[in-house]
Amino acid sequence: MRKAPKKNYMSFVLATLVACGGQAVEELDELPFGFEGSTINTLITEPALFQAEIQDSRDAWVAIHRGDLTEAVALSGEALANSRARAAAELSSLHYRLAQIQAEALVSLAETQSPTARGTALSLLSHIAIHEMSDAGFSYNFNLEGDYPWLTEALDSNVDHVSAAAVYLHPENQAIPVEDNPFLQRLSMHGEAIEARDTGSLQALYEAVRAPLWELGSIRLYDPQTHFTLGNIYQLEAEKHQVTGLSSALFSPCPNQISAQSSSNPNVLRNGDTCADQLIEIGLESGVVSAMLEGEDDLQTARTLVHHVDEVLDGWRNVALRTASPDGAALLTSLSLVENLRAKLLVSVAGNLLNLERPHQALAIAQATLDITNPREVSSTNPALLFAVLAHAQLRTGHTREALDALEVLSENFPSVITVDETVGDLAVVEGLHRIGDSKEL
Amino acid sequence: MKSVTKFSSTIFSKWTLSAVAIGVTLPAIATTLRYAEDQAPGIVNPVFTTTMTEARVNELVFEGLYTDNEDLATTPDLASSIEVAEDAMSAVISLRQDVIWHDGTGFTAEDVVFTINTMRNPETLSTEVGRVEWIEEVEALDDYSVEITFTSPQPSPQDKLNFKILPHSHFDSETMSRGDSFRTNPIGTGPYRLVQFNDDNSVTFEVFDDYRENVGIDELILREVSDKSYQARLLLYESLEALVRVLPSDLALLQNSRQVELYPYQTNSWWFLGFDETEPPFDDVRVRQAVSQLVDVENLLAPIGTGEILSGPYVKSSPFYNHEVEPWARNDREARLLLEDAGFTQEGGAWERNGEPLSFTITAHQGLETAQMVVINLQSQLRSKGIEVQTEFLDEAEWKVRVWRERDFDSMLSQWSFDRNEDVYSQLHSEGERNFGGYSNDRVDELLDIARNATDPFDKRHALRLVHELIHEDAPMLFLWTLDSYAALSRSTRNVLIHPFYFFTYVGDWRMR
Repeated sequence: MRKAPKKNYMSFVLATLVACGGQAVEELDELPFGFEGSTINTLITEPALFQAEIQDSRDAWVAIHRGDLTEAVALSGEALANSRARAAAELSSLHYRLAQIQAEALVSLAETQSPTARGTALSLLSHIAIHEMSDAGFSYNFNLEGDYPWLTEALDSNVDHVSAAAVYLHPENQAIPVEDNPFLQRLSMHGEAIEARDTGSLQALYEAVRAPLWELGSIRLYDPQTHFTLGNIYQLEAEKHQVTGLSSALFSPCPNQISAQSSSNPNVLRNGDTCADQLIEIGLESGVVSAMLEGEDDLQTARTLVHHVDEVLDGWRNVALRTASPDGAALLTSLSLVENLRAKLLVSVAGNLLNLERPHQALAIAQATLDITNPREVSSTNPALLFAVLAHAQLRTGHTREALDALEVLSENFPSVITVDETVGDLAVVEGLHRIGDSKEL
Repeated sequence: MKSVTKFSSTIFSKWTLSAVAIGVTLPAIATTLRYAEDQAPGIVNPVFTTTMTEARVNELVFEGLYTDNEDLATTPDLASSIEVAEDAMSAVISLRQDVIWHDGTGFTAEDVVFTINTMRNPETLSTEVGRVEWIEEVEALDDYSVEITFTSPQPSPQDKLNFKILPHSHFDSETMSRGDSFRTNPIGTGPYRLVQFNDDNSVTFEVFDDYRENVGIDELILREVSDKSYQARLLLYESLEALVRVLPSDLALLQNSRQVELYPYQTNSWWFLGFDETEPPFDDVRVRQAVSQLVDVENLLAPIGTGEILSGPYVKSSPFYNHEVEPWARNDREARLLLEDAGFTQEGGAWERNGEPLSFTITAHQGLETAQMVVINLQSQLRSKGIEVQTEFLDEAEWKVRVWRERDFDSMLSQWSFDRNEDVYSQLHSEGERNFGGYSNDRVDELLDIARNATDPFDKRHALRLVHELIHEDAPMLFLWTLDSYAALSRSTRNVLIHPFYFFTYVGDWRMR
C-alpha cells in the first residue's frame, strides 16, 4: 500500500480552466494583511494570468507543483527558462542541504574511527566534504589549516586508493596524475560536470555516484562530493536566467512576487532576516517572529509560531474562497495553493533556523510542516526540501536513526541520496554499538 | 497531591491577586493529562515488561542509572558519575544521594545490586534478562557506589545501564515472580507514583512530591480505550489529552484539527504472522513459504491505512534492511508447487496430507481490534485457497501464558516495536527469549552473534543484511508491514518532547495550559 497513483490535479484544472470564465463572487471591505498583493490572490482573481504564464511549459510546471524537480528540469528543455530556472533553484537548495548532511555525518563518523585504513579513508573523505562546503560558503568550525594531519595520515595509508588520493590533494603535489585511481576518475567527472554547466550531462554522474567510491572489505564509502556538485550545477543553471513576473513566486516560499524577486533563489536563505521578512509579509506580528529568533532554541516557541502561521493562512483560505472567481476557486482547492505556500514557507523557515544553529526549533517546525496524510511521498504539500531539512535537523539533534526515515523518502525520488543515506546509516549503527536493543510488543 | 497553583489566563490571575488581597484561600488548580492505551497494563514491574504499554508506565514510575537526554545521548539519572577501568572490564558507579523511593525510604547501592542480581537470576525468568547478561558481578562498595564487572570489555558501559532499578526492601529474595504483589503496588523513584488501578480499567498516577526536580503536570490518567478511532474522537472532544499511537486512517481527521499536535513516534515497528516451527505443518519451510505466497498483504493492510510492506525484520529506512530482498508476492502457482512438494494434495479445493486437512489456528491478542480485523481477513483469504484456518483471540493473561511462557500456538499475529538499535536477536536467535516460534538456523545465530559483538559498523550492517536475506528465505514469520506512526496530543500540553521509543522519558518537562 505504499503509493496511491499520483493524481494530476493540475492537468485536470488546466483542462477545465480553458472552458471556464468567471468573476469574483464577493468583494470584502477588508482583506487580511498581506493577502491583497499575494500570489494566491493574483491566481484566484485572475486565473487567466496563470494560464498565460504557464501555457508554454505546462508539463514542467505540473512537475514542479508535485515536487518532481528533476523531471521539471528535463521537461523544460533549454527554451523554457522560467520553469527550468525555478526547478533548478529548488534542486540546488535540496542538494546543498544533502551535501551538508553528508559532510556532517562523515565528520561524526570519522571521529569515532581510529586511524586504521578505514578511519583514514573516512577522515580523508570527511575533510574533502567539509572543504567543498566551506568553498560554497557554509561555515564549519573545523581546523582546515596548518599541517593537514589528516592528509599526512592518508599519505601513509596502506590502501593505495587512499594514499593516491591524498597525494593528489596535497597542496604541494596537485599536479601528480594517478590515472588508475577511482577517486581521481570521480573527481574529474565532477569537474567536467561543473565545467559543462549542463544538467543534461548529469546522467553519467548520477549513475556513477550510486556505486560506492571505495570498497574496503565490507566497508562501503560513498562519494562525499556528490550533492555538492549537484547543488553547484543546479545553482549555475538557476542563475542563467532571472525569473520575473508570476513565475518567480508560483509554488514558492515567497508569498508575493516582490519578495520572490528580491532573492535569486528564495530557497537558499542564509540569514535570519529574510526568514523573518517572509513571515511578517504574511501578517505575523513581528513580536512572534522575534520571540523565536531571539530566545533559546526552544521547541514550544517554534510550535507556537506554526500555530500563528496556520491561523493566518486559515484566514487567507477563507477569504480566498469567498473572493475567488469560479476558475480561481478551482485553482485554489485543486492545487492546494494555501497548503503549498504553507509547506514551502515553513520549510524555508526551518532551513533558516538550521543555518542559525537552532536545530530543535527547526525540527519542531519541519515535523509540523509534514502533511501526514501521505508522509512517505514527495508531493505539492511535502516538498523534497522538507525531507532534507527534517533529516538535517534530526541529525543535529542526535536523532540519527530517525533521520533515515526522511532520507528513505527522498531516496525513492533521488537515487543519488544513497550516498547520504549510507553514511548516516553507518553513523546510526556506530551510535548504537555499545547499547543493548530493547523491543516490546505493541 | 502536590499543591500547585497554575493560572493560564490573565483574567484568572487578576482575580487571584484580588482574592489574595482580601485573604481568601483558593483551591489549588491541579493539571491532569489523560492518555489512551488500547489496553491497561497487566503488570507494572520492569523485570517482566513485555508490552509498550507497560514500558511507557515504567518510564513514569521508575528510573535507571542512566537515561537518554533530549538529544538521545546517554546521561546520568540515578547515577552521578562513572569510572571505567583501564582494561574496560569493570566500572565503579557513584550514585545520587538525593533520591527517595515512593515509600519515603532512600535509594542506595543495595537497590542496584538487588535489581541486577534478580534480573540475572534464572529462577526469576525475567523477560529483560538480555539487558544484564553482559554483567559478570555487581558489588556495593558503600551506600552510594557500586562496582560492576563485565564478561567482556565494555568501553562505554553507561550506554547499557538504562534498565530500571527496583527497591530491594519490597522483596524477600533475589528470586522474583510475576505474581508478586509489587506488580499492582509498584514503588519507584520516578516523577510519578502509581496511586491506583480504577474500576473502569484506568490507572491514576500522581506527581511524586519528593521528586528531586520540578514536574509540570500534577496527575496522569491512563485510560483503556480499545477502539483506536474512538480514541481519536475522544481527543477531539477533549475527553483525552494524548493518544500514544494513532491509527493511520484517523490521521487526516486529527491533522485537520487546530486543537491537536501530531508527533512521529515508534517508527521502528512492524506486524507479522509468526509460525510455530516445532510442530506440523509449519515445521516444513515449504509450507511456510507457500502460506506466505497465498496471502494478499496489500489487501490486509488496506482497511488499516497506509504503511509499507516489508520483506524482513526491519523497516525500510533501517540501515539493516536489505533492499535486494523483495517481499513475498502473491503467487498461487508457486504456492501450489511448494505444497505438493511437501506432500499435500488438493481434494475438492481443500489441501490435505495423509487424509488430514491442512489446518491451523491463528492466535491474536483480543485487545487489538485492528489485529482482529486482519486475522479475520487472513482466515478468509486462506480458506478461499483451500486451507482450513481457525482463529482465537486471547486476553492479556492468556496471551502471556500461551504465547510468552508455553509457546502454545500454530501461528500468531502480533507486532514488535524496537528502539533505535533494532536488535532482532531476541526474536530470531535460537536462544532468544522472544523467539516464540522456535526458529533455528545456525548461520543466522552466528551472524546475530557477530552483529551483537561488532565494534565496526560496517561489519554489523553486513551481517544483519545477510540475516535479512536468510530470514526471508526461511520464513519463520510472514513479515507484513510498518504503519505510519504518530502520537497525538492536545495543544493544551506544552513543551512536549517525546522519546522515540519510551515516550514519557521527558514528561517532567511537559506543561499544561
